[in-house]
Amino acid sequence: MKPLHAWLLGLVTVLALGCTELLVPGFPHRAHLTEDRCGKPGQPPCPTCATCHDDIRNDRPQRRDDPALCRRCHGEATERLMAQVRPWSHKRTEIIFSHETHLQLDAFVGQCVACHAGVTEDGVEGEVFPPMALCIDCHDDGLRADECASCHRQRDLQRLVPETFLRHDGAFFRNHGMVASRNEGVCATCHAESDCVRCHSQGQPLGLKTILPEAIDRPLIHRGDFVARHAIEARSQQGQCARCHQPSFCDSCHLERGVSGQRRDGLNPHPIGWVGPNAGGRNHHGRAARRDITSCAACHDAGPATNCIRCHRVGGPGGNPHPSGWRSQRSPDAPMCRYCHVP
Amino acid sequence: MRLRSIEIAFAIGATSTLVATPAAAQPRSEQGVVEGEDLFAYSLHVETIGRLFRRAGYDARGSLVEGGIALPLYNFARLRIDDLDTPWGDDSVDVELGAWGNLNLAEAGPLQRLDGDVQVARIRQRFDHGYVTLGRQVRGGGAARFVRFDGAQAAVHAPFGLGLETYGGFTVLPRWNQQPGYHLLGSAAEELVRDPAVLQAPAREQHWLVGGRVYYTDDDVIDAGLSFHEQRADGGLARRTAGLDASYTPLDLFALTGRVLLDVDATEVPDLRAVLDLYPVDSVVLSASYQHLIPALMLSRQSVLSVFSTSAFDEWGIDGQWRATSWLRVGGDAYLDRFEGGAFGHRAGGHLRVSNNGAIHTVARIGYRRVQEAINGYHQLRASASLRPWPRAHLTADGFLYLYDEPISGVSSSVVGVISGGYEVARYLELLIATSLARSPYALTDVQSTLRVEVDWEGEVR
Repeated sequence: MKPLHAWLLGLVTVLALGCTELLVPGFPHRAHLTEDRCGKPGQPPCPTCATCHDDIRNDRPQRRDDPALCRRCHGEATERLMAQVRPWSHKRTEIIFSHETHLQLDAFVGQCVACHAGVTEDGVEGEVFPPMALCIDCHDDGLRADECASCHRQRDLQRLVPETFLRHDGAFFRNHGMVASRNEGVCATCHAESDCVRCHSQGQPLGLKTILPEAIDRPLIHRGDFVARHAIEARSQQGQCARCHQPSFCDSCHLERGVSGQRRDGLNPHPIGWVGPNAGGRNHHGRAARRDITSCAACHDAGPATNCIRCHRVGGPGGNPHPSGWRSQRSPDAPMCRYCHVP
Repeated sequence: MRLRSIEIAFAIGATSTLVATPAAAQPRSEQGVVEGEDLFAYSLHVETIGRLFRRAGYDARGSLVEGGIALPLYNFARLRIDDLDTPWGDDSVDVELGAWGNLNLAEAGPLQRLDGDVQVARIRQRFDHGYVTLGRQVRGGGAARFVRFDGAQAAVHAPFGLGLETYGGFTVLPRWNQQPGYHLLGSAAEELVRDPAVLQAPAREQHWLVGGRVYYTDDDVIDAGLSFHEQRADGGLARRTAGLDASYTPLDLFALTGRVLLDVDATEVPDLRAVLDLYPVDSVVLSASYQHLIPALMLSRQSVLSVFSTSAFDEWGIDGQWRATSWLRVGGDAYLDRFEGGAFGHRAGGHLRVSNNGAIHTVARIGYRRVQEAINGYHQLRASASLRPWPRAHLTADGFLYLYDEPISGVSSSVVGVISGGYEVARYLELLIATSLARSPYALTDVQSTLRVEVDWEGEVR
């Protein structure tokens, strides 16, 4: 079997396993809390939330998956029943929260369902954790976006995605720069400046797709076969590459591959008729340069050695390269201007 | 400075486990707070990544040249200390240090280069109505876009929602702008010309930046700022930009955000963006955006090519996500570009994400993407899955298939696959191993392996 086929087969198997897991239920809260074979003569008392979760009501560490809890009602059948149940084991990050304090408030009158509503509804498996919006219903007067650590452990904040403040969904990834400029203090609650630099620094030898192969949900720009499609991306979103990369970054690879304007023995990637009037009377390189000069810069931006200057300098055969309406506040004596405007 | 950078990166990595002793990380409640004592928080993150692959590539003549085995060792470390006391205020100083180092173990000669850099090294003194930050730091947004510099930044938050932020310093130069350590197999002469070890050191005093922003904020409803940024490179003007940014969130139902930059030198608008986010119901997020960009003005004004064009392109986009159920999410986006001269391009895609919080936490995701521009385009199919078979272990698989409209180097498709497995050895230590396999227009077969050791430690100490 070819390695490629083996890999694809592995991927399909993993996906199939994942789908199979969707059918496995969590702890049957519904069966326990709506069960009618209890409370009558000869039957065990009907369980309530406190039957199993009394510890957490008093802010003590919770005994989960403790057979002793189940044995009080299920007796000798406990082990067999526990083997049939696959309790919800997904690790949720810790919340700094006092159940005891909250349950004493008038808003809760000792009832768990005020926050954990829906635990017995069809389709609900495992623990029903209240959304943060529910906290804000009461805490909106004093809860600020830069005080996440009041309820969340600092170490968890980098693994959480806010859903109430500064929602990180939708087009957030594309626009996070605008958001960050106005909310630096808020961002700093979870993110260090080093985190910004890890994405935005072009000096690092490793890209995030290599550092974080497991982060399949993160919208990393260079994931997959970016090398092959990078030219398409650059033309599709002109100027976007230049937000982070300087032209010399691009040219370092192009030079090695022999497709740079700075390599004397390099291969010319442009079609026949690219420079100078061709059979159709069109000058392809001029039109392409007008449309996306950043792509040209990826190979041809070499200061005074830029090969464009040879033809486009004042008096050269290439003519005036400035577009119609072009203007600058700089003096013609500026060093860059003098590449072409030789006094 | 360079040697110091490398030393810092490796020293932090090597001593991380010594620093991260359990005795230093007791919860605040267990320690008790004594009046007059400085209780501060720290977090330490260290990653050591070893990779293994064999070099091979085409030289300028198109001949395949095979190289030796490469085993680069990459180290990243970040130390953050918050809420230190000073004579000017309790819990008012934050310190951050981030650095990386890289060493190629299995190679000899110029390829076995010890490399590294300090990414951030800053100290911030917070006051009741502002802050001052000194050191290597970043500045983002507004006219600054994103810059990194060695210098100072200060902010004053005045009454009535007004404020002023200002910054200045020497630009952190992209010393490894030419793909650090990524020596392909061209001629040695070409490599030497670009090797940072033989390049003339740039005069840093000719590379500096300065800028500021005044703003008004009305709690969470209105936020608007006017900013200015000037950056010099090689003693000449690189960028002189003014910016206006604003956001308006009158209701929880929508948010309107925008930014416009003015290139003061060219008196053109090189970058304009506007985004409308809609939250019609909790489970749905919709965004509509518009962007106007002049690519030439993204180049430094020191680039001679920056004066060759003022052509712009406009882009309209929509993006949406729907949490259909607790286990199903659907998302998609579409962007239409109009280039000067009337040509159009587009990008669009969608994905389906299924998750299960059962005994084995599972995420499966499948997506399709289409990109088309004037010359070429591609279809992308992506399937990925993540499993957590045990609470401390996770497995992921991520696969991509690309079909190109026009062959690239004579090849019409690419396949990339990545599998990884991670295990949390202890609360602060995680191991991950990953292997990628690719077949693309630039590689008949590309196999790489990665081992990542990650240390995360945080605590509070007196």
